[in-house]
Amino acid sequence: MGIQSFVPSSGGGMPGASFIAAIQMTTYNRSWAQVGGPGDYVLVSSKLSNGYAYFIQGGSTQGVPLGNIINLPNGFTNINVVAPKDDYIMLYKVATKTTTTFSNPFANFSSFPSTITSSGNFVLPNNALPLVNVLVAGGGGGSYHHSGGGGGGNVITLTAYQAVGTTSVTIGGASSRGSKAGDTYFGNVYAIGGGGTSGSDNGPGINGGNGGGGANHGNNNYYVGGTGTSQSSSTGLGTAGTPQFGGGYSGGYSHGTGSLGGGGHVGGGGGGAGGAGANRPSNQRYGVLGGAGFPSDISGSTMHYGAGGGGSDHNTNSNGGGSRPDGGSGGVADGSYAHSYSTISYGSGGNSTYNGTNPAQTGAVIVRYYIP
Amino acid sequence: MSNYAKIENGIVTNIIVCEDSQIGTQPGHHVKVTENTNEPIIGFEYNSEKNKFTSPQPYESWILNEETLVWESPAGPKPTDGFYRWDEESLSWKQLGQE
Repeated sequence: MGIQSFVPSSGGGMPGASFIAAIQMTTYNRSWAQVGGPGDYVLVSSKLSNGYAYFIQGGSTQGVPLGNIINLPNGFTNINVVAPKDDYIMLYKVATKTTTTFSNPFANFSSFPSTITSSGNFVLPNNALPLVNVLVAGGGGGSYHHSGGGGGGNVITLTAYQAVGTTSVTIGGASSRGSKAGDTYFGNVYAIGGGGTSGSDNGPGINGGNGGGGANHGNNNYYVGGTGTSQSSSTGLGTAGTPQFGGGYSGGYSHGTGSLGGGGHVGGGGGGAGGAGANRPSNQRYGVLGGAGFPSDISGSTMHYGAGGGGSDHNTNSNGGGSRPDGGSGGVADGSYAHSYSTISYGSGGNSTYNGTNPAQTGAVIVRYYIP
Repeated sequence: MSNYAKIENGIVTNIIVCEDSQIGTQPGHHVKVTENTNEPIIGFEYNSEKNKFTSPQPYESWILNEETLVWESPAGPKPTDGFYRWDEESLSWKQLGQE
């Protein structure tokens, strides 16, 4: 019998990937003079070993583990490979096809919300999809009677965030007047707590994720609300999970007695994660609204997170402050807002009332995970 | 569930909510807030010897009580029969609306 050759009937190799060349790892560190144009590439170990490679183009270097595809928009002129000795490393160019999104990607999974209100660890169940949706709300800022409303905490949502195993959670506490509330963390992602109303009877609101309302117990001055802090990828949001941010709004200003008889014992509304707190007009004495909360249905129904607290009314003692999706009410003349809405949730600032306050709320993390 | 203050270089940097049994999972040094510690505010100093938080000096004339670590005015505590503000110029409490 003569020598036989083998020819694959079709295909072979990696579908959608074009083989370019291979090297042998005669040492564990090999520098490979190989040129490639712009595109997607992958280096594969013949033994499926772990290793790492650096694609070099001029002064630019991009690293990638073996087996992972890397996009190289400028191509490369050299590859430095670190892998076990005697292995063979194969270079492929990957043909990446165009795709489109599809609707309701989680519709076929069973989903479960996990509401975390105390610091600790979130542990993803073993049988869950490693992609979760997350809402992070900072703590709410505090208020005071006859004063301004507290600012709500900032809110961050993450969609299809990769959370495998255990993730550290820190829940930001609510604050009192004169102070900023605590920040809430989910891993390295964090939402800044809201600022409280002024620490003194007459004064500006405190800065925070959303600023607290200014206070005025009784003089002719005008006091600004605290400033909000907008967050970005480098200040808490990160880049994973398509982060969406709510907050960064200012608290409303307070106004003294003034020529039009504003009153005193009044304050501005706290800023909310969905909008700024209302200002105190100089010629009015009734309570003003805090900033709107940030709406989300991650818990299963639409709730508002991080709403600002309302500024106090001067003397409408029958109308205590209440919570509203568009921010707390500090006591309004017709009393229609003198109750709390069930759709207000974590991270909201406190409302200031004639004779007291509605306390601010702590922050929270809500994780919705999916079981295939 | 308790409030804890996170301490970095002697300064309060965050206030968190945590079960006592879980505080060990939190990165960094945390101090439990109790009735005896004074209320911590972000930016306050923490005195580990006395286990108390203390604010920055509110006015130049106020003196720190070394026992309680609370700043006290030279005119005594704020009156409780109305609304008052501190007047540093006259070193006295001024009743709002009576000035």
